[in-house]
Amino acid sequence: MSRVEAIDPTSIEETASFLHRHLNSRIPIEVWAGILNLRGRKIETGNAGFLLRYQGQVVGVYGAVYAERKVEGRNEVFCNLHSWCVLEAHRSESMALLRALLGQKGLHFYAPTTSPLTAPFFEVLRFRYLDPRLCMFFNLPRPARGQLVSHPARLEKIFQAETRRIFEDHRSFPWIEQLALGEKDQWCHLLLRKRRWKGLGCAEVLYLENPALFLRYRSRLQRWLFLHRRLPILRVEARFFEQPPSKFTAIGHPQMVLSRSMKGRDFLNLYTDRVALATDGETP
Amino acid sequence: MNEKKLKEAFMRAFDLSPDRDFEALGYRKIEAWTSVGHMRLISEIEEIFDVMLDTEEILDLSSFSKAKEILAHHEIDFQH
Repeated sequence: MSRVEAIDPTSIEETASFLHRHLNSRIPIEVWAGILNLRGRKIETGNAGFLLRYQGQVVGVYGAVYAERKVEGRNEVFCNLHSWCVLEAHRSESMALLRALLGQKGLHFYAPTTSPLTAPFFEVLRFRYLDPRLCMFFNLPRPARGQLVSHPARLEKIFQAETRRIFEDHRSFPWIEQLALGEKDQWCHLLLRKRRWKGLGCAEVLYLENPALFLRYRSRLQRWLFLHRRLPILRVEARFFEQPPSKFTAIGHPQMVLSRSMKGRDFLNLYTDRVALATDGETP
Repeated sequence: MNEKKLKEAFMRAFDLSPDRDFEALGYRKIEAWTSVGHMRLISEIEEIFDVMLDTEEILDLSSFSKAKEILAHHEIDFQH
């Protein structure tokens, strides 16, 4: 029988190597190591997920990134799950990894990238689905109010405190574009990623700091995406808003959460595989 | 009666015979009690006893005796 161990700094290299070899060889080992080293909280949990070890070798992994932030004035800790991979000979022991992760008390669990294989497990374990709707917008070069800042040196001056920390933690992912949208001293921090939708270039908003500011200056962003990034489509998850800001919606990838108290919009894509893992063609 | 029903759940989930030593059953101790088998067992138990287990209980249910302990919290009596 294999043994469950916490993934710690001493096992990151072999874990990254395992994920490269057995989960996705198109993602370089350094990128796998990047997400395993990602930290979103001030206090260390002591693990980057858990692994299964059999006769000295890693035979299974379930990664996790922990993120701490204030929600309605309270410090909350989120456990963002990623990269569940177990070799076939040991697949019967997959549950042991889930038990280790979900057995950690006081956390809110987020599985942002489920699959048809994993979703049934999460359903039985009482995870619930997030609103899957994506609001879609066609980008046009219309005149628009507000400003958009994309240069990192200027962003460093704009972002302070917690926003600055998030900015710095996500700087090492070249497939993520970080922007500030707004004007004067009111800015909304954005994380974007380039995607394809129905053959068209699409900017996906993975994180927006302030939904109200985003909506107020959305046209400025759309103009910039059209003129400077040649992306005709913008999409953003409907769950970030009180009311979906577009009647034109698509259905996104199923995402699931386990929490007694957090609402759908409290689960952010920061410190998850949605920002920290590259896909085909994105690694330099 | 409830003991019989619980054995029924295990038999259905893992395709066991009635003369099995149920007290010796444990997660990963028999071939059929895999991760998928575990989900089947949970489903059988919830259906037979008409209960809904929470996440912690689902993860803790690692043996026949543990199943009885967990179901006792749902006011299912195994003494008689």
